[in-house]
Amino acid sequence: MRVGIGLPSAIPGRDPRLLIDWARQAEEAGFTSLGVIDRVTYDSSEPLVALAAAAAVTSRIRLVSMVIIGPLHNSVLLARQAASLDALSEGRLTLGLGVGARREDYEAAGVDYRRRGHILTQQLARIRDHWEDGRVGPLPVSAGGPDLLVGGASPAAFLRAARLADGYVHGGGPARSFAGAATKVKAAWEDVGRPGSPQLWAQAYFGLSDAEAVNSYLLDYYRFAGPFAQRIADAGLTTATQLTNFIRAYEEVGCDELVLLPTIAELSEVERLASIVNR
Amino acid sequence: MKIAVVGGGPAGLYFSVLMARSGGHHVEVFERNPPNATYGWGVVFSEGTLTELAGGHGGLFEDLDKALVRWSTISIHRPEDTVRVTGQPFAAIDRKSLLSILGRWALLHGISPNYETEFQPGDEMGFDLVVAADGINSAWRRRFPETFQSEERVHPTRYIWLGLEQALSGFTFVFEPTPAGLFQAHAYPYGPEESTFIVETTEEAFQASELAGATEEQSLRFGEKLFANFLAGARLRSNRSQWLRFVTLRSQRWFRTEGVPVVLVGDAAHTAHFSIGSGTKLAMEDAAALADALVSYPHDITSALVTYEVNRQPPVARFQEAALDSARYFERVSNLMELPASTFAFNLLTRSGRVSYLDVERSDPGLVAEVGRSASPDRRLAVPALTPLTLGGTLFRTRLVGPGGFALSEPIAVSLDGRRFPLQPTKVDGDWEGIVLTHAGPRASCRPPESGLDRPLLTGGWETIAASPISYTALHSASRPLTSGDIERVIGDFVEGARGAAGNATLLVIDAAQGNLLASFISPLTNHRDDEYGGSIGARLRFPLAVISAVRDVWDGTLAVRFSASDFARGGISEDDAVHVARAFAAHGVELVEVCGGGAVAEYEPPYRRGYLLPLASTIRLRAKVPVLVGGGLNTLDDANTAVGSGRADLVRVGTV
Repeated sequence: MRVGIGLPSAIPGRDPRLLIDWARQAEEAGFTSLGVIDRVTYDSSEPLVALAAAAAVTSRIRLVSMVIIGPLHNSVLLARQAASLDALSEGRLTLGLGVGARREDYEAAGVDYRRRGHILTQQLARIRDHWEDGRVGPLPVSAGGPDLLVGGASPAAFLRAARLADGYVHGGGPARSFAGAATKVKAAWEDVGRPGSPQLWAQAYFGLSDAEAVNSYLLDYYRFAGPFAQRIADAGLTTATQLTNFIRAYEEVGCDELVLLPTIAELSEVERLASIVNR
Repeated sequence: MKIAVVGGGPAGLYFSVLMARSGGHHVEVFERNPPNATYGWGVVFSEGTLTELAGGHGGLFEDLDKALVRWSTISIHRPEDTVRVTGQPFAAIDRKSLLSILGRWALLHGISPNYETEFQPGDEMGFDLVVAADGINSAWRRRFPETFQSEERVHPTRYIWLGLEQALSGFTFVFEPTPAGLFQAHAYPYGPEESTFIVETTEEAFQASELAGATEEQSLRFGEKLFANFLAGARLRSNRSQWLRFVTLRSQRWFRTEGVPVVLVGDAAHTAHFSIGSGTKLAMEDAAALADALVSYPHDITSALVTYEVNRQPPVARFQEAALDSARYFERVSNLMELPASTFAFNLLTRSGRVSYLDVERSDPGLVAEVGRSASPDRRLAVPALTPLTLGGTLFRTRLVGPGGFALSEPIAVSLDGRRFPLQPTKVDGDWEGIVLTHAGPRASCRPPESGLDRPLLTGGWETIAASPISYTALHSASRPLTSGDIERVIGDFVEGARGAAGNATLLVIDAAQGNLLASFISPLTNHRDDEYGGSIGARLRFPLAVISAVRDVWDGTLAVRFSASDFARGGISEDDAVHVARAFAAHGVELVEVCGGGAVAEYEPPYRRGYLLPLASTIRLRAKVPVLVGGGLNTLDDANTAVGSGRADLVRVGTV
């Protein structure tokens, strides 16, 4: 299993330029990918802009969105942005798309929340079309375009992933929950007769220098989850033992790449995490 | 903390005992009935539940333990045979004894329930928490429908809860066919001279037996007469017993924090079909988890309630899923009566998808050996999925199809316009034991599947044909409906395809599944024709059957057809129609049916999980009496052994991922 690290692009109060040094250091430390999350109604950097900045100062590390809320975007422009970033990074982009979890993001963007699943299905096919026909420039450098991942937990999401994406990105939780989703993704792959096997990605939050900061950030970010925010905050990985056990559990259930998302906007977090992961 | 517990059943009392013992809390129980007004007979616990109860409250558990009846067998009776399955440890207790032990411990901890006392809206003032343990008809749940977002599903079968004046030797299922339909009893001992005896049947058999409006006495006599052979003179008892329909209740949320917090436990939050006997078990586990959470967060009720819900929802959801599978099994169990005794027993044990071949092998190796013998043509000791099977002129060395098993080709298009994508083969190439022939119909003219499915070619595409002028996705153009000329041509193309396969393989599979050309005629979602090829299921089948008949005439080998037995979409093909389709195939010389699902329309809701197509496959195999191949999340030899050993399928397509 490969292990990636998230960019500090959604932590309020960060120095917006921190992610540049962060990206450089993550690549040096041997992480295999840099992840970004997407949320419109929050103090967070636009995910593809953040990845573009990271692309400029790195050369090997993979750049992954997990996930961009696809239906909020115009499909042509999203395809174009992703193709541009793929070209700029010499084929290092993996584009994860999902419907997201918050109605308020849809209200802010003026998109019909009830049609989100249908929009995303259409969008995946259209983005691939744009990447292949070249009418909307530029062409991506990856053959056929960057790899696509889909997130979500409904039957429709698994079907969508198998029909139109190259893999699945899980939304977080214990390894057992990931394993349950992976079984469904594989059944979907077999159902639709898609060749090959799905890439299986996962994510979790970490913060090593200050457990209280991890807690307060996650409580703030997940305020929309109401009384469940504390529960999510409690699942943040704050010690070496927790991280080691968590990584091992995900490895055992067949995860291909686990991306650990930051909760503290301090550069030292990269080094701290690397020393545990590389141990 | 000052806690009001609404309902003096097992969940309410157990919760009160645990909270009172932890100290520092004031617990009041409100029960609208008088003490000892309970009805219902025994309650079942698994070994796992007993271990948890022992850990929860040692003293109370010791009392329970003395009153428990334990057993470790399941007996399965049919008119002509009986199978005893060993290694199934369970325990049961008289519901009255359970309540009296809980009541006694409540008193020891200083709690004296307020009997014959309703706890009404407004009464919660002055309390810090209301625990709604007031059963499936919970007034407190119904007071806040927007919060709890509950959903009730009424099951189609009828059941009546009776007692038997005799202690059975273990869990007992009795199946009694009648001219009106099949009845089954679910029975287990719970005291020295008492057993629970639940009788269940389909609505049709219930009506045909004129049980609607039967008095308690009439139902009792009916049961005694029906099960006379099994009862051998023992008497049944009733206690305000009526014929009911089971209701499965699910709730999105189990608590609210606005105003005085309210939390649901047990049947007030969720129910699980009686055939896996876990209602009281789940309720008492809820009670323990809630007490635990409140003790862990003494000053933060919200966190305690979140912890309770987060910890309990996943296991309860798993039980509910297993219970639904089990309920569906009993709705259709009459299909299974022709299975050999050991196969029938193994099928019953594996009905909820939670018990597999390996599990049964551990608990009762003798049964598994007999199951293997039943699957084996010469009745030798065998592993079910590794036994051979001959269908027509084809020998399947094992029951596995796909990697490591019977070699089936990728679909070969019968004509250029029937290709899914330009490089799809139209000629047999390579070494296969079986060859699949397809015409992609409305799904033709797409790009190769490596870069995603159902993406129409931008250039170099061709006109697609289908039953009706429908576009498969928003990016597709509408297909052209087949003319009578097209129909003749396509029949000819399939015949040519079959001739081309001759000599290359012994098995030919015609693809009528997943929205391809022949499938587009079968599904009511995609066939809107008003000529002789559209309308009733018989008319929708006319063209696929014409293809099959023409191929049958020229193909000497074994003939199979794959089709989608469910569209997994609203308005899709019904189960009865799917059985009709399989029967019609068999009547036209088809020797094997592959059961698939979905694909008629691009956006459907497949219930993906391990073995999600098995219930459909089983229904078709047993009702249409045709050998069945099925896949769908079956990846291990254990999965295949469970499917074949239980008689749900003859052949298993093992996963390619």
